[in-house]
Amino acid sequence: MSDQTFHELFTSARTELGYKVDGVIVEITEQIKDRMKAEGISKSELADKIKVSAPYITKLLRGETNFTAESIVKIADALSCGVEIKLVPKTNVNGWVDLFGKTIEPRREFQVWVQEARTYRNEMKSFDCTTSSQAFFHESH
Amino acid sequence: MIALKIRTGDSFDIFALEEDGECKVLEFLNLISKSRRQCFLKLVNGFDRTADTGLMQNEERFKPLHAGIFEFRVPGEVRILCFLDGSGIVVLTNGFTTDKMEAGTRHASELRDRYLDAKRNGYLTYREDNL
Repeated sequence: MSDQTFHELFTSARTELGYKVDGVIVEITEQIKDRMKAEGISKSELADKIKVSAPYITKLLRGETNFTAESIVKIADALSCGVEIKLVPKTNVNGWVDLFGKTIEPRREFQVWVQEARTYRNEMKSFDCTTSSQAFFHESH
Repeated sequence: MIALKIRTGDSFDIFALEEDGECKVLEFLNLISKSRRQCFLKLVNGFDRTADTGLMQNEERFKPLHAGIFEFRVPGEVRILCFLDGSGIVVLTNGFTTDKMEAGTRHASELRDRYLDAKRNGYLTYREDNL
């Protein structure tokens, strides 16, 4: 018997440091894979370029070895890239950061509007063109 | 059979299959959320990333297996298998530790066939988890 729902499991996971750290690793490794593909470079070729072993690259891509500033710069160089790092203020519908970095509360009506827009988007995703258009046609005539 | 929507995003909606009141993916996630917490966090990250930005390119984390079955993976540890339905839906079938790979993959294919059959014959039910 399952003791927690998906929602409960996911909500608790997203608050944890391990989840957030892995999010950064996934972001970096996805960018590396994209650039490797674009440049036509294999793991072993990348390893040769930065003078490490191929298994080391595999470990980095698996997230088993931590990236250092040095390893990121070396990999970026090897992939003909620079590195840009941004710290992004957390934003959500309950609190935005204005131009001066102060947290502001959006108006209540706007929060409602955002919720309605989300609901509408979800409805449209599950919109079945065939049955819905038939229903519309039937009702119109 | 029930397709339970567990995550919605700009790129994909993610569903998990429930059959006879049993959801293999939920049971597995509940199990590893206690015994293998880091693996569990990585899998949740994989689902979130996929829903929001699309299928991951890094095959150490998401990999096509065969016959349309894919795996969310934590190398050497755990797998959650899935398949794509159209261009915007990922359906999770089952999860297992890597020592049970063969049986797990076979089970994923069977579940996919039953899902497609249920969909084709109109007895697939959709339900939403509390997103």
